[in-house]
Amino acid sequence: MAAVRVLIVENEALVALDLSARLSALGYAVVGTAASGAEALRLVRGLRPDIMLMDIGLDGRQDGIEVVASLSAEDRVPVIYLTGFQDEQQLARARATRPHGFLTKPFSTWELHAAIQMAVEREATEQTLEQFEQRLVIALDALAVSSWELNASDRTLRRLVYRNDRYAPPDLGEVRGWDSFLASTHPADHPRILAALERAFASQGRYEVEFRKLEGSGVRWLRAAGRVIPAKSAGSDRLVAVVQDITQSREVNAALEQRSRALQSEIAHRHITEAELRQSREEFRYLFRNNPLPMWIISRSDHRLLEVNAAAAANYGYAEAEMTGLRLDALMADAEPGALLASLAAAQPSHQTHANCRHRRRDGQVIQVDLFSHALNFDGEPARLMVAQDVTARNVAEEQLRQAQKMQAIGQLTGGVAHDFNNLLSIILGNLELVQERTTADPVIQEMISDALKSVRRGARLTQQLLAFSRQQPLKPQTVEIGHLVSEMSDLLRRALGETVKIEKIIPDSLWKVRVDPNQLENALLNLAVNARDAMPGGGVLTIEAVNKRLDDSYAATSQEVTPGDYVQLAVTDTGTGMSRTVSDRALEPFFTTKPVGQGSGLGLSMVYGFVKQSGGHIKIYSELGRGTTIKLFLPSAHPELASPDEEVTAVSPRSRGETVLVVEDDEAVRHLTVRQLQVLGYRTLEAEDGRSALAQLERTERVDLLFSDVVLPNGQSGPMLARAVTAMRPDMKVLYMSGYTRDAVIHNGVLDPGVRLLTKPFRRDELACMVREALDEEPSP
Amino acid sequence: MTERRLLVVDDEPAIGAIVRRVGEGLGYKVEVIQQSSEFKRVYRNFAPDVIVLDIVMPETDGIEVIQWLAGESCTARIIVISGFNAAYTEMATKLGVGQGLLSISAMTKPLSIADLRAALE
Repeated sequence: MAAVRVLIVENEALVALDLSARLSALGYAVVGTAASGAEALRLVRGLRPDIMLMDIGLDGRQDGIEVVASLSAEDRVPVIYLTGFQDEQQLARARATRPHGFLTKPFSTWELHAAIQMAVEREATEQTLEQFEQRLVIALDALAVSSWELNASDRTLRRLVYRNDRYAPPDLGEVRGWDSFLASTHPADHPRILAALERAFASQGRYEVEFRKLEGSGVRWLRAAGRVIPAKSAGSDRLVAVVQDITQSREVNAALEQRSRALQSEIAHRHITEAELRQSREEFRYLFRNNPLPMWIISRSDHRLLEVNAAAAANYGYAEAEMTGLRLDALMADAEPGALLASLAAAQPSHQTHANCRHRRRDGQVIQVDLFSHALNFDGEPARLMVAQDVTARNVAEEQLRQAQKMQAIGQLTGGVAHDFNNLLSIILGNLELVQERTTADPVIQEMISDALKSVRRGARLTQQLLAFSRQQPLKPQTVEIGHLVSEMSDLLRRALGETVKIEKIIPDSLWKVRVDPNQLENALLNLAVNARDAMPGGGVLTIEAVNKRLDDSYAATSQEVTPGDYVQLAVTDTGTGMSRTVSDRALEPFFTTKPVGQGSGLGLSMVYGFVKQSGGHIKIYSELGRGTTIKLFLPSAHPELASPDEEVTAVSPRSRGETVLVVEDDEAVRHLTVRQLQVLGYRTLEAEDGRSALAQLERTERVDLLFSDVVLPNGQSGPMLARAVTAMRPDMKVLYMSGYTRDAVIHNGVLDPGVRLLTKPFRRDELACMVREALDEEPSP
Repeated sequence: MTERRLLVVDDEPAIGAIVRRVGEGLGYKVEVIQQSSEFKRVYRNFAPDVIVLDIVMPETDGIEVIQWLAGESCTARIIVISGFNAAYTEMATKLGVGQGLLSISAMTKPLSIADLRAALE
């Protein structure tokens, strides 16, 4: 430890010398000796001693005490006074300069040493205290608090001011009476302040209170916190407290509290909405689970099915649990599912996508789906809701309808063209023949005319084929036994097919008869046989198989233009090359051929198609490439009332049982004829030419059993309108229509409205007899 | 011998002309009409021995013409010509027979002169 540096201020040189010697002997460093105050001030500033030994009696104007008092704050140095007098007044003056020690001459070396040591110690203590005070000042400043002390006995408040300067005289700061303090606070807070104070003194413990200080027209919130310092022996207890302005923090707190209350109410509200949300979720879940449309939710990240509904599982042939977790591409039929996945990934999350896809069921069957998807969040995960509507059946039906409509359109077109051609050919043919008759002389002209005639006849044949396709060829339907017809054709077929093709016939004896034109049926079979031969260039087997088929409503619903009923299915099967789907789709179209140019007219199957359709049947093609082709003709079975002419001659016409028939027909000739025929059959008759006169007849006549009316009548009232009026008047009246048109108000799509009977003009007498009898014998509708 | 009379009903004038030529070649007095609306009047005035009838004409159904003829107790020979459905023609002829018409036969377009001539002989 470095030696304590001492400055001696002594006006007597010998004494100073003696002091210096003694100090040095004690191990102190005497840094200088001054004889006057002025010199002392100079040395203090220059030498910065640790201790100054100051003789009070100095040379010059100032004594030692005055010199010390005149030291500036920064030149202050711990002082030990030396004096030869024991003078109370001088001592009081010396005390005011807060010296570190006081020695009265003469003093021993030991007394000197002890005084210096005490001064050094005191200096160290004071420096520590000063540092502590510095820190306290900084802390209080930083906290913006003031510190007060309340005296318990006299109830005075002192504001504690830390000067940070130990040489300055102690300053107790502002002193106020407790009452004046209380007056500066909000009256409403007084009880609280006083109660806190009572508690603190009573418990000699903590004091803490918040109160409002009146300040101008407003208030500031203050918080006082402190502790009671119990009195030591004499004196009174003191309360030391810091006071802090908490106006701002209270505002912050109030805002926080308000926010907290708002949050609490929001939480409460959320409890309610969560319940509602749960219910709503359950409702949506129900809609999802039980929706008849197949739906699932896939993850947008890995395209796995997160949830599937029952309809989806059923449609794709999976168990729900089995389907959940599959990747979307597992459902896709096409080789490149990447494209769809990429397009889904590229789609904006909000973007709704729609795609026509081919999907694969669990059993491998490919289905066509309209796939709609929409982004959503599922359990917090980016997902898509996908709705996969199975349109396979719809597409098949649409395709069938389109095909049927196409065939119908082509039929109408070719039919119309063929008609005009027929007339034109008639004119060319007739005139050519007349020319031929008149120019017998010139062989060249004869040859030219002959060539022209050949072409006209070829044209006529083509026209016939077109008419056949468009269901407008002259047909002479008869009751036909297919077994008989096929065996009659055997030679013809064998010649047409050649030796390499074997013919097999499977025709049961129980086969129903059919009602078709036998010549055209032979024609059709021959056409099919020739096609089969061409499909089997290396030979094969041609099978002709016939079987009874009852086509019910459900079958009719699956195919266009099929009327339910009894049919004979005549199937012609070859073991040939088969047709691709594209070929079989178009095989019935006129002029569609796969044969080389010049070898096929493209009309063979078209004629078969037209013939079957015109005969009230239909046709189906089944073909597989490399395996062969089956063409099935469904021919309507012969009903008794459509029996062949031979049978009808012998039929006995059912006759009247004395009923009266009202005939309504605007054409006089037809009406007369009908009436005459009915009379022959034994009926009583009434006549009318339109609805109005029919109703007039009914009013005059008591008993009329049957209204027999044309569908189309003049003067605004049609047959059905008349029938409605009549049956309203006489509910037990039976109704029978006649019509010359195939497209009438009572016929839709070739089918009669239910409960309607129609006799197509022209009608045979026995047809008339049967229909009238049937109508009269009909049980009244319930 | 009285001149034979042929009434032709066809909406196609060129076909009517051919039938007229063939008929006249066979010594018929020929009357050709295109509209069936004229038929009843012309029939009564002309009193034909043979009628050639195109069964489907724009205005009136040929079948109704046949029924009318039956009502008139027509004794003329009737030849029905049709461009299409032979079943229709067949029905018309059967109907005529059934209703007492003496002679009714059918032919299909395109007409051959030889066939027509044979029918008119």
